[in-house]
Amino acid sequence: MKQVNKRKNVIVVGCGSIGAALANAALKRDQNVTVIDQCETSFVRLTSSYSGFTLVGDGTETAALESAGIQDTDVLIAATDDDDINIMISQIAASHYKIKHVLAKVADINKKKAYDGLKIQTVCPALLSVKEAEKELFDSKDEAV
Amino acid sequence: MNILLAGGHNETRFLARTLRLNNHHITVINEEEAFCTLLADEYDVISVCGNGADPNVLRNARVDKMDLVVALEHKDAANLVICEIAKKQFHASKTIAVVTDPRNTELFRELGVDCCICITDFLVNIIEGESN
Repeated sequence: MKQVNKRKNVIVVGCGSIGAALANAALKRDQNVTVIDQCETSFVRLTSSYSGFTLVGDGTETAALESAGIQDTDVLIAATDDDDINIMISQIAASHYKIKHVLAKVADINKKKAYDGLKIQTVCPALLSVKEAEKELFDSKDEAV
Repeated sequence: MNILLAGGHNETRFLARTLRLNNHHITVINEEEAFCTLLADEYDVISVCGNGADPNVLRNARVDKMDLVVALEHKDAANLVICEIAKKQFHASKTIAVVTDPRNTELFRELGVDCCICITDFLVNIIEGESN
C-alpha cells in the first residue's frame, strides 16, 4: 500500500528574512503555512506565488495564535527579530498548546546555548554561518590551511 | 538576602534604596552606564552594566549567589528569559517577574517563575473598587 505523507500545518511567527524564507520553503514542500506578523508590509518578503495564509497579529497573544490555528498545528517556528519574544512564543506553543515541533530563532549565541540546556529547540543563524565557514575554510581536503 | 535587580529605571532605584535600608545586599543590572554609576555611588549597590537577559551578564553579576532575582524590564518576554536563565541555568533560589500583560502571569508561573507581579491587575482592582 502506498504511504501518503500527510500535509503538515506550519505556523511561522515573524515575517523577516528568515521567517519568510522558512514559510516559502515549507510551502514548496507542500505544507499548509500560516505566517503571523505585526506589520502587514512584512508579507512582501513572501514569494509572489505564496499561497499560504497570512495574519496580522502579535504572536505572543493567544488570540492571534488561535486565529492562526495553533490548536491544529504540527509545527511552530518563532522567527521574529527579538530573541526573547521567540523564546517566549516557542514556550507558549510547547508548554501550553503541546505542539511537538517547535523551533525558536535565537540570534544571540550565549542565549542559544543557555536554552539548549533547557531543551528548547533553537536555531542560531550566526552559529550556523560559523560552522559552514569552518567547513569551507578548514575542512577542505585539497589543501591544509 | 542577596538580591539581584535586573532592568527597570526609577522603580529599580527606589527598590534598591529601600532594600539597602533593610540591609540586603543588592546587585543591579542595567544597560545605562550612567545609571549604573549613580546607583553604585548613591545606594551602595553592585552595578553590572549590560542586558539582564544575556547569560554572560547574569554570570558577571554572580546570579548563582542570589537568593532572589527580580526582573523589572518593561518587556514581559525579557523578564521571562531573565528568570528562566537565572533559575534553570544558574540555580538562583527565587525569581520574581514584573509583567504588564495579565495573561502572562499564568504562563510565566507555568514556566517556573516563582512570582509574577502584574501592575495592570493591581490597578484594575483598585479602579473597579472605586466604581463600587
